[in-house]
Amino acid sequence: MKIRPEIQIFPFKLISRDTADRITDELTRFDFVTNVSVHGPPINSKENEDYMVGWIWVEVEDNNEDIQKIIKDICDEYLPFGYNIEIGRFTKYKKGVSDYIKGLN
Amino acid sequence: MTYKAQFFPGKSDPSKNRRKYMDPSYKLQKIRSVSDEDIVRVLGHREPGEDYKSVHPPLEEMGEPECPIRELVEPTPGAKAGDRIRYVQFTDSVYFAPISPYQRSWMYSYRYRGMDSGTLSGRHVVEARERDVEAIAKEIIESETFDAARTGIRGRTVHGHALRLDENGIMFDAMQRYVFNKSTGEVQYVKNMVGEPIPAPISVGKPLSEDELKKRTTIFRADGVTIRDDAEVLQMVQNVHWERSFGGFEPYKEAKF
Repeated sequence: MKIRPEIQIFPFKLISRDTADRITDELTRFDFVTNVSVHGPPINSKENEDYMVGWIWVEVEDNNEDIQKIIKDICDEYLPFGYNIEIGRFTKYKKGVSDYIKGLN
Repeated sequence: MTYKAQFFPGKSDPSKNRRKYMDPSYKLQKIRSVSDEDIVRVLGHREPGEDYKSVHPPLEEMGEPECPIRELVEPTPGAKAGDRIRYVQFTDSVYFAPISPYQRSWMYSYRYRGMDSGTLSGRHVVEARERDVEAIAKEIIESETFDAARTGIRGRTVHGHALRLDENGIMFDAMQRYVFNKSTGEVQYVKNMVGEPIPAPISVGKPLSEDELKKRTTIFRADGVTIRDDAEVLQMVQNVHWERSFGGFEPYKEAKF
């Protein structure tokens, strides 16, 4: 199984769900992006379960400088207050022991 | 020679601000005005206009026993009327909030009577008789120690003082008690302290700019004024550290810094 690398975007401010959605939409238009996941603290806004976004993980086919440049350009547009980019693997990519017990595939 | 309290050592801006807030002779600068009714709504302990509930009859009717201390100490208005004990709690962001919980405790101890304050890492609760709490809350909310964006009035779900700020520079609040009004640039409270909706939004004014906050803050931070910039404060912290670490172990030994 090929383990794809992930690029973590860490904005210096907690961004709203709308901004995160716009970034996600931009990113998923590219073929080399295989998955985008977001994470952040939940807020209870107008009785709806909502959340703010503090981390965005972009799973890419292959990590190279061109791809990083494209992602940085998108970040510069939507995150004017600054951000960090890190490359690694931040989310689960295969099932673990507890997943076996639960019978997940 | 009369003793003159120094309150806090140091020459840096945070030190000066700490001294200023702790000194009871310094009158806190008033930077906004919030009506009494709005304060009652934000606190949420009673409806505006409603009578104060009491736990004992007024002191005058009670017939107190003879006691020199009772003659010496003037009761606060709340104690005189026999009010319930209520609370108000503030959360202060680590990002250059005008004051932080520990200094709140110092400041309240110098400034207010008949209150019990509790300091936690990100929040500070003060308990007192109901009308005293309202008076304290009004003074604090209207003063320079309260910033619309970096200070929150939170009874519960206080989490958020150390989280990143949001896109508008507002401290994270899981209950969304206050919202940033983009058209006016002001912060408005739409829920009371414990997260129940209130009839009309209460404006607490515009957030201060980052530069202004750095001037007003009492927080030493690596990206602002660090504690190492102020030799006198560092010396005091080291003294305290030495004395509480080694004082009980070999107290006859001389302190070495």
